[in-house]
Amino acid sequence: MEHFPEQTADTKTIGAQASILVGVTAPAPVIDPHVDEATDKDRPWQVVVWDDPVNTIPYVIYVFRKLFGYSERKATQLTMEVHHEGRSAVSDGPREEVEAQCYQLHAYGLWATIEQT
Amino acid sequence: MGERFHITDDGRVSLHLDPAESSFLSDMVRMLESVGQVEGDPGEKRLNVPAYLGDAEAAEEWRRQIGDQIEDGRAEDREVLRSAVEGEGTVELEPAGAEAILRVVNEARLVLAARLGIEVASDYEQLDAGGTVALHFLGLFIEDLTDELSRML
Repeated sequence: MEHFPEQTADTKTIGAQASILVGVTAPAPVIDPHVDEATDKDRPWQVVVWDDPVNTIPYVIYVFRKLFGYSERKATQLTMEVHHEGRSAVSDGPREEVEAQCYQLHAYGLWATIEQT
Repeated sequence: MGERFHITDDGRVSLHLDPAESSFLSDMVRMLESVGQVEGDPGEKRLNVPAYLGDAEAAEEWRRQIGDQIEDGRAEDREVLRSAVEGEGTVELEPAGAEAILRVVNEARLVLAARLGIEVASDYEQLDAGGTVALHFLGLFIEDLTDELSRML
């Protein structure tokens, strides 16, 4: 896939590697689980569609119109964003909702992923 | 190609295929049934993309929860196409059936392209004539059907 990114190491891994490189041990972070939990819970989820060299532009426009009920104009705008920028967040909402949307996009052969904003 | 599909007065989708086209699409159904039977199949990799990047555990859990549903849906779509191409000449489909055919033909194009090594747009230049014709036919089929189904949105 032309613009599909490689999976990246998570921040913990990056942090550990950084500590090794500079030869110091970073102070242990103070974690308030209640604050983190509330923050994570409030952050919306989104479904992202990635560019690929096989699905055609008219097909992707159709799928966006069919699954999300978008106007032709909005579906075209999102599709062109996928094509030119490599990705587009096409919908957001509660995690369960975007997971269901991701499932449908996969059923139509689009390369879709879920992420938290 | 313009005569391949049309919407009937009662809201069904009429599909006309000549014998060679039906035969080719039957081959595509068989190709899809072979997905995953060989380790490292690029077609399987393309169809089963991870839903979460950078979180293998979430991706695996999501796959565990919905993987069977996706596979069952794809198998149902293949049956719709198989039935459609068994009929000679013209068949009429409910819109849901036409939608299933759109999904499965697009799926066939994705798998075929993956197996032919299409990873970036410039890879099309390396295709042999057979691969080019096959992908082109499937692309036109999808485009024509998308045009008709768009009129029903």
